[in-house]
Amino acid sequence: MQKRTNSRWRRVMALVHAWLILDFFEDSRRTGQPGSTLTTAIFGQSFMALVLAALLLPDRLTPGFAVAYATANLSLSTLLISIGQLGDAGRSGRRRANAILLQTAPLGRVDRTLARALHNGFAVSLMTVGTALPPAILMYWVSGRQLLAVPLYLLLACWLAALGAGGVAVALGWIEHRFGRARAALAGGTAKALLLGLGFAAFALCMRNLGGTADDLPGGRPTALAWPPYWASRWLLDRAAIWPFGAALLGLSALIIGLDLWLQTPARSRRAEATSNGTSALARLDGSLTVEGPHRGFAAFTSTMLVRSPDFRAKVLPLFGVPAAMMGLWLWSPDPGGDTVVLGIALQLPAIYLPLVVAFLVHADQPGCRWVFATSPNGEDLPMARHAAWVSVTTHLLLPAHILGGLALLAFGAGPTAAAALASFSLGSAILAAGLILSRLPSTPFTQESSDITIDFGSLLGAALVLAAIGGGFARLADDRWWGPVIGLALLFFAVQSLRRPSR
Amino acid sequence: MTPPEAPRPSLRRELLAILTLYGFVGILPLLIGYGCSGL
Repeated sequence: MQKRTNSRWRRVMALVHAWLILDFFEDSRRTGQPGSTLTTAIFGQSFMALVLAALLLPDRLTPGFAVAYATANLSLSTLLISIGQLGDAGRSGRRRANAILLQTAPLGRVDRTLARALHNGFAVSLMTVGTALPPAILMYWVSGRQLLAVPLYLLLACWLAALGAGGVAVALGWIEHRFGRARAALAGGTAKALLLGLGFAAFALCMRNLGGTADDLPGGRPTALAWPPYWASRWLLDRAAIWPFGAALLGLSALIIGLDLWLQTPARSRRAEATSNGTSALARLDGSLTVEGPHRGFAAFTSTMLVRSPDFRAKVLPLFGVPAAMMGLWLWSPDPGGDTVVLGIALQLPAIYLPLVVAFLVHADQPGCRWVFATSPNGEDLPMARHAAWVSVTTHLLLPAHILGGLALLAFGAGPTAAAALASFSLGSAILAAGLILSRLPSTPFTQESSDITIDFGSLLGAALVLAAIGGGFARLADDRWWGPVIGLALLFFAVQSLRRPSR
Repeated sequence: MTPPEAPRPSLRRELLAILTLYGFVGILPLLIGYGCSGL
């Protein structure tokens, strides 16, 4: 009996060890870099949590501050872990590899469940303790010198992080079950951008009420009551509220575990991939701007990958999440200043961020996908690929972004003349800037395997200043004058004409 | 698919590095806590 238990334990630990090796070294083994990317990520998150925990300390404690302090810090650690879980683009590949590993391994159902629980528990705790340790130790003073608050805070942080990661896994698992793997990876990237943006806005809005009560929050007490980290901090610090909030946390955990078990049932068949053969309006626009043949092929490939590459979406969309949230906060504030100069600068943001987008554009989703171009006629024609990428970026990124920007201008009370002038001018200048940036694209989009992205921040800042000055200056001069839209449309016309010109 | 120059993974070394980090981010709040006499 003893022997059987020992061998089971050894099998489970072998599986856990293999998964941990993958967690730590998967990325660096692929690229040949020393060290582990996971350790670097834990280092970065810990220092961020340390700085926030120290900055939030007040000069003098007020009653109820401890709950607000614990909620803010618990929210940070939970959000960081959940967002990390969302952006994991290699997740589907890992799941497929796991399925083969587990089917061929001499492991029973109990062994697998035990190994999964041990591995997930250890991995989540390892990452959470780094972000939760500084606020946990400061909790001793904030909670009025209760030593028990320190370990309990750590426990709650790990519990909440596990709930967050589990909730994300269940949601993505459900999307995968319903709509296929590709959609789940895409939804993960989009949700990451949204969570980053909304999280940033929520921290900005809620931080100023740290000395108040839950009623001072935007949305009042219901906002706090709908947020699990608040339940945890009330459970930790409010003796009278131990039972209801503890029960709520247990109920949520049971719900997530139940949903996870339901999704794990092997009998449920999953749709493999969702495909659509429809031709969108943007694809038709691509067609009208490119030449029949390889040129159009390059543009079609780049446009499809811009929308369908889970890696690109997970890395690039979050870049827009935080600036979009900043703009939203500014526009929704009671007195946004009503200044068209700021609007003009804001509309240049897509062009300003474009070098970052282009830096991620060459990165391949799968190793070895270069053969698609290496084996096709004109597949190695870099100037053609650059021009096609310019068309794709214009139709699939810049055009939608500027249409949204123009509509936002109208929604926030700009006149139709000013909105038309600003939107057309910013779109025209963004197309020209894109042409400049993409003329230096190092290889065909989505084919380079090395993951080291190099960004020249010096020239990025210079270009940002120039673009902001042009946008702001034009907004100042053309504010509601009749010639504003004329100049804007003329620039747009010029940009589209230079885009139409064939690459050679 | 492993490149020849890939390092030999050592889980123990990474865990040790993380434990050291925990020690560091644990000591700083202790100093801050003791330093803030108002709390």
